[in-house]
Amino acid sequence: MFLDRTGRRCLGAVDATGRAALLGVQSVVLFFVRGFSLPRLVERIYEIGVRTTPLILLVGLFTGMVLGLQGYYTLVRFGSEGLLGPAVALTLIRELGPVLTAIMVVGQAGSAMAAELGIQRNSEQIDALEIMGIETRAFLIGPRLVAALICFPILTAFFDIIGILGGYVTGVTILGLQHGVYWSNLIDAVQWSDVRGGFIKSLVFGFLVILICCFQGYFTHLQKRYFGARGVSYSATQAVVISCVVILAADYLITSFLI
Amino acid sequence: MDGDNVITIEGVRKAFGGERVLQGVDLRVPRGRVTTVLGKSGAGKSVLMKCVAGLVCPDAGKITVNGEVFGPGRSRIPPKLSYMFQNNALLDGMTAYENVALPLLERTRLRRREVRRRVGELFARLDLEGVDEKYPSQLSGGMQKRVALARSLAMDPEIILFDEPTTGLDPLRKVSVFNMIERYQRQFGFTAVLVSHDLPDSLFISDKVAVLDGGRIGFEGAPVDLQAARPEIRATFLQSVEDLRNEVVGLPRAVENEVTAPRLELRFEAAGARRHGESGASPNLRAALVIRAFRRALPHGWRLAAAGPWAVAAVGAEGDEAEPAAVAEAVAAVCRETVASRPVWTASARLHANPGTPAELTFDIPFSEYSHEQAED
Ligand SMILES: Nc1ncnc2c1ncn2[C@@H]1O[C@H](COP(=O)(O)OP(=O)(O)O)[C@@H](O)[C@H]1O
Ligand SMILES: [Mg+2]
Repeated sequence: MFLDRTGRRCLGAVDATGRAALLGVQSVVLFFVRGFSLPRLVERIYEIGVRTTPLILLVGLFTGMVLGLQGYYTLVRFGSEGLLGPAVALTLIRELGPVLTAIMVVGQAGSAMAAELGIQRNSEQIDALEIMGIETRAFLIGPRLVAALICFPILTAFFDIIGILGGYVTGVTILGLQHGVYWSNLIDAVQWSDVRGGFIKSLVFGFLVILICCFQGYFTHLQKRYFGARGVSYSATQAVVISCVVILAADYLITSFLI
Repeated sequence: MDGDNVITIEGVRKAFGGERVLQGVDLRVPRGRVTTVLGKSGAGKSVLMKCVAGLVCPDAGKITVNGEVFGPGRSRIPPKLSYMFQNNALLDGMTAYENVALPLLERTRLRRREVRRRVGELFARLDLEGVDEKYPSQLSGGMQKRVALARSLAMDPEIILFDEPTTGLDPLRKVSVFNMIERYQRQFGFTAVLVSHDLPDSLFISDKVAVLDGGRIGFEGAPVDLQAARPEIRATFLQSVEDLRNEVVGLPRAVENEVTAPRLELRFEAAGARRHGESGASPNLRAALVIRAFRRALPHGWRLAAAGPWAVAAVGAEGDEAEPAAVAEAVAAVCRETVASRPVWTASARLHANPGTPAELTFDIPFSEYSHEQAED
């Protein structure tokens, strides 16, 4: 009984993963082949990138400041507070930047995306597009995925930079570390490979979470648990939950490959 | 004759889980005509429409659209087909203009200026001037319907499926939607398939009626023949009329015991209608136009009511002092005038004042002998 249900769930998850992967690839390919539209892409870049920037900057700043604070009091016990710059920068560039950026974008743009697509599905707007002969994956999902690939690395870079500045504010301005020590150690310690790793993560996370959000919304009518408005809100919540889990799992996988 | 059927549905079945919704539907839709599908709510009318539109994939059976077969298996949307959804399904993030322009911009290579001109033309024809920049939620229900119709018409479709275009509208809007469909169907010449339970209004614009009952088409034929259909089909049909009565926003039924108020009843004589049904000319359009004239001629305070599939009644204001005979005379005059100015009438109609009372008066509307075809030539 238990095994039966677990097995069914696993099969369901594998099935959904396959369909989501197919949806992602088809959407991007169809977007470029059948329905490329610069205005639509720009609109999605605005939605995913521009509108989330203030939030990313705010969260990045506080994350950096907290890292500065915690890092300083840990390092000072070992007499190595001079390494605060590298500690903050590497934590941000390699881990927290990509992960927190992705989670923040899911919270701000991803859940809205799932809800929007879910409502469009339930109110037959997606069917209406199909009737007009418009390829809905290329029209609705493709531009969002491409926009995610463009925006996530940039947002992550914003997050990292403002976070490093936040660490500087705590370490140097508040706690009295030397200006030069913070920067020179930081510049020495951060390798090009660290940046590349963070960049890869941001690309993967961006594609995955926006795909998950689009998948949940686009196929909201196929889930059997809730219908109508409840169904849409369930899909939006699921999109956020699954995205967060997938971000952390993918983070672990990518990190273990990169190290 | 079969070559003139633009849609042929043969043995279409569809089940959702264990629920068998369509159990072998056969239906032929004549080209360039209005076909209405009637049926109780939940009978599967929308599912049938969606099967034709390629949005739902039938489990078995064959659907031929314009000679092309769309069988079970992977569903596909037939070209040159539009679907007007029950809830309009306008894209709510786009303005009315963008909604209508979208298919033209996406599916054709027309220049923006040409698109703007075409959409403007459609809007002008559908009395939609000045709504370009409004979002669907800022429009009234009737306007949304017209924007949806404009969007359906934008690509010059050969077939338009209307799923309950009037449900949830107030009586005046209903009439205007039916007028609109009838007018543009004549103007553009597309094939219309209508799902409706607005009787008798929908019948006045229909050339053909099909009743969907128990997962099958139980009746297929001209509207006037409905009365001669099998008892259970007639029951379905009457049930739809009941539904109409129960609908809060529907036309009120003529109240039989409203003896104090004067009453007029416009009856279409089935014999005359059938005669011309056989000759190929549909009487329904004419009926619709006479009803409109009838409506317009009524004095202030009178309300219109359904009185059966082939009759409409108008009930005077309570305690109306107007002389019923004089009102009837005036109304009959307007109806006659309408008939005379558009010599395409072939059905016959008779106006009864105070029907069923000793004071009953009868006015015949002398329809012209021109047939539809002759007038078109
Ligand atoms: N996507 C669907 N999934 C499951 N059942 C459905 C679906 N669409 C319609 N049905 C069922 O099919 C039946 C007919 O529905 P419908 O065609 O919408 O009726 P109507 O004749 O009022 O338009 C209903 O009982 C409904 O429950
Ligand atoms: Mg329906």
